[in-house]
Amino acid sequence: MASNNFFLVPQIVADDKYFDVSRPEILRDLRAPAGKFDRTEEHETKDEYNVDFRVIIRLNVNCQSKVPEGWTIALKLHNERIDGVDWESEFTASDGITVHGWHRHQYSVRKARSIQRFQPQTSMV
Amino acid sequence: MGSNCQLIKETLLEFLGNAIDVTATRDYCVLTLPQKTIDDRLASVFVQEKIPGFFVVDDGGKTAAELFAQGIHVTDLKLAALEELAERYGATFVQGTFRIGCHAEKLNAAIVSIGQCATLATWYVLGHKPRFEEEPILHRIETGMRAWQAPYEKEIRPRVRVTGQKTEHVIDFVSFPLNGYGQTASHEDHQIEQVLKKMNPWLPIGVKVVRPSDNALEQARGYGFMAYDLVGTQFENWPRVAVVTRKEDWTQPAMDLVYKSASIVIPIDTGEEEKLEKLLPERLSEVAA
Repeated sequence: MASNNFFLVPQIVADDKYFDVSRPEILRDLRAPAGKFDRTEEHETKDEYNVDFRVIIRLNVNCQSKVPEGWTIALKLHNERIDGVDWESEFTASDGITVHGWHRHQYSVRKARSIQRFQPQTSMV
Repeated sequence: MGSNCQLIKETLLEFLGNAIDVTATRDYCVLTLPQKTIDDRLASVFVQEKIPGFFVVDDGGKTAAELFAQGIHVTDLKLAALEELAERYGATFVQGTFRIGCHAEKLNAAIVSIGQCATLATWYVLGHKPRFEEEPILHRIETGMRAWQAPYEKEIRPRVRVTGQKTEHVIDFVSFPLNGYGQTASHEDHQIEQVLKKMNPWLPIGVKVVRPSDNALEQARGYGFMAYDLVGTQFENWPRVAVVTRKEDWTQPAMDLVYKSASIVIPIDTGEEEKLEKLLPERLSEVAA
């Protein structure tokens, strides 16, 4: 039985990750009627004590909607979103400020849920 | 009492008025309703006037996209439930979007209905649990391949790119024959090898992991496409070994397709991944025989 690797989330998010796929291939999947991209890879990382770990991560993109605001991208561990970007017309960011638009979601190890929303970055607005 | 009820209504109307936000984006309006979805979002409803007096109201595909982003796969069963939910509210659920087309007089009802669909459809979030079972296996495959006593000197290379008729594919590991019996072999052995090569040349053996993901049949089709795409190329005759993970999650038609597309299939049950290191050399010998 594989173990719970959520404690590695901060490291995985910070790591450079490699998905064996080209941009044209992603676009090909997104332009298909299903409008979804799904790729699983094994990723090597280290914990805070420099111990090696291998985890299975998954990259999901959904551009099925004709409206760009309905598109999402998510990086998953154990089939749970640990990082990603989506759009909300209004939400409360992790610093308590009400904002809107494209923003990043990150997994909260403490709360064991993908709930931390960050203020939109200039490039995302 | 009557006046109190009126006051409550007025207060509620004021609350709703303040809570509903509207933004103009390109050729449509986005309404943010005060209803919260189960995944803690405010429901967004997209309104577009297609022709004067006729509106298309939808959720912008956000509900299905958010479910997908949070690890909830819309199976046929869930799809039927979402279609049923949409129907109850006078909407449709097509290509991941709740939608109603209506004239101006029914616009407000349509907005509320789509808001309800967007809210209720997220109840699947409640039943969602992380999946801890799947184990990384690439290192086990590499160990198994290196441990394999091949009838020739070999080199194991990871992530080998092969070009098919239509696109490029990646094989997780390939065992390439080097110089037949190797540099230490005698001259006689090399002569025998040349004869054997003419009769049955050693070919590289490709090993690829096929994971079921959310839809095993789709993954099987992907693997089948690779096999089909390599026909007519120099890679067509390379023996293919498919290591199928989470065996219990595969349907028979999906598994059959992998069997038809590979030389040998090694299905691995969840929790049995460690057996791969022993199993793989045995199966590789069968392929090379």
